[in-house]
Amino acid sequence: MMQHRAVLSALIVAVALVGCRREQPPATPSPSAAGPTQTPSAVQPSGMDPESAARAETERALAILQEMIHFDFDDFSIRPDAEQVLLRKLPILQANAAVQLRIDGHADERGSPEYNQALGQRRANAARDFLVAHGVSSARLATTSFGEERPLQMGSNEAAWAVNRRAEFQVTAGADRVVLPASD
Amino acid sequence: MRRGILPFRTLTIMALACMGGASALAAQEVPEGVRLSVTYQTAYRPKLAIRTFTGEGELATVAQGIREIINRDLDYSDRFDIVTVPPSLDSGPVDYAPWRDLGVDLLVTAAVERIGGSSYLLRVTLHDVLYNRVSQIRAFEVPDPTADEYRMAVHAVSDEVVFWATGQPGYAASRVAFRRTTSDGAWEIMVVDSDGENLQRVVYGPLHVLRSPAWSPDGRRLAYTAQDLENGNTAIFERDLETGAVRVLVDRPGLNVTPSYSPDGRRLAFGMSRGNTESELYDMDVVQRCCIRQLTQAPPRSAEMSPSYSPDGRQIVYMSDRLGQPHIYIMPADGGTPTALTRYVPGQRVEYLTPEWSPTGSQVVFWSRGAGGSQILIADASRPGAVVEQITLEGTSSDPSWAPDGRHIVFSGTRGNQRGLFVIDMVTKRIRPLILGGNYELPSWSPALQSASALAAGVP
Repeated sequence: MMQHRAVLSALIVAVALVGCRREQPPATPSPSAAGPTQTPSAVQPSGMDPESAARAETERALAILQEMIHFDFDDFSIRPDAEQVLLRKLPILQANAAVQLRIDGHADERGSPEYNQALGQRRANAARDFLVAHGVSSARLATTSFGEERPLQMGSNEAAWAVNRRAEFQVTAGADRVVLPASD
Repeated sequence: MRRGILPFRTLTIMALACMGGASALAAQEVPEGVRLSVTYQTAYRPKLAIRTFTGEGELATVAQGIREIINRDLDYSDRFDIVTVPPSLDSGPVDYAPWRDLGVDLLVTAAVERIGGSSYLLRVTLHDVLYNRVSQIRAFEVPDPTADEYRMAVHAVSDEVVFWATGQPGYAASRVAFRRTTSDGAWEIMVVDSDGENLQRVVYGPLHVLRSPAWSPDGRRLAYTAQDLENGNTAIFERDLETGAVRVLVDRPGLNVTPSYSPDGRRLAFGMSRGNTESELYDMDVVQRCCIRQLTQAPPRSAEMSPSYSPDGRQIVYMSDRLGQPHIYIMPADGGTPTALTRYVPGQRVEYLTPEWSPTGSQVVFWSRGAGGSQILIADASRPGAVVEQITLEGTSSDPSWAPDGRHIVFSGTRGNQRGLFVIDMVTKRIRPLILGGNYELPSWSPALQSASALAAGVP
């Protein structure tokens, strides 16, 4: 069937929209500004040099920050399972002040593409509001919505729709070095 | 052929709905405050016959091609019963008696002559059979069939014949813009003629999600939104359809969505989300490309979008979910107190979306999403809170847009296993496919693009 739109769109970088002005890519922070302020407290795997260990820790932390959440049909409230996902991000956000996130809302294919973009925006905002309510500065959290146009899974069935109703988390700053806070 | 697109299908749902509690179907599918009106109306329509258009030698082929387009346009106008011409009456001098015996009210004859190397003179006669007289004769210049302007010139002649016969505007000389998703995951804004022919791509967006095409009132420009796949920003652009030039209209950080021109073409209303707010309504001076004004202030966690101007430009109909579910509201075009057009029924789960004001009157078309699926509805802007009319029942139907005659509506939908864009006549409720294909969405109907009077060759 149809291939994954998002992947392909990302691949076809050579062709620009006719007459469209390209937006500037988001500024990437300099490594010094985003540098770690704490020493890694997670246990380093044996046999790993400190640099590799730091890299592995950063990747584990990024995976937690990037874990997406899902929503019910035509709804933007944070479900209990999504709450758990968001709560896992909190200590990392608190331990890494340089990290900034962009939250992307998405909708399933049903309904109007226009209204679905508004719905996706509300899903992203709901995730942002949850994190802000738990102490994260709203200045570190941007939101946008891709509506129904970037599905993770193709198909017109409940399984695909459930996967596609989601918010994704992009780390837009401070991704070079992210520490995992000390475990309780 | 699928049942859903059979012309003039008569439905009995109206009768079911009138039986009230006896009809489980109607009770389930129609929200409170909605009346089903999907029955073909049997109002009298004049019987119209179109004789073979004549032409000397190789001009017969040109004449035949022109007649095919006009014949279909007059059928699609839904204002006539098109009568098949008996071979015995298809040539020779016109004698009204046998036509009258056939019950024919109106007869169209035409002849094609060559003028110059690459254009033709089309001399059209409308006969009023009932009154034994020629009603209209006029000659039109028509370019060669290979020319880009050919089909639209012939459509304009069709609209002139509709006007002669009924005094009402036609819609043949118009086009529909829509958004298409390609099989390799890019987005395109396409334009197609009112008869489903002459499909053309006007914008291609492999790296941008394209949405919401909207015509300028002069039909020369198309506004649309393009979303950057990298940062999610959605900006409003405008393309000049003649020169191909593109300019940015609004690109503030965030989402700038659902553009709509005022009838005088001077202002553009749109939805915009800024900072921590959801989408709210703004407008701007689209000529100077300046002077953005805020028109609405949405409560926290609610969105307002999809504005559409009244024909006099004094009011805007739009979608707001300030009460928790999307409903249709009206407000003064400069902002001000909103009035709910659709009735809010506590506890009823239904969404009313994407309104568009009729170009010719007070009707507003929009669509509903709820237990009855996705269907097209009509409300009267002069009667807020009144019962609204549901004009589709089968399949799914969404994102409606008015034809310039204020009578036909294009929508995106499904009928049986067909997906694509369909056209419904509000009066007869006849539905025909405009163009079929998956991922054809967000249709927007142009204003009248060409008037036949501009083509009149000045020869009686």
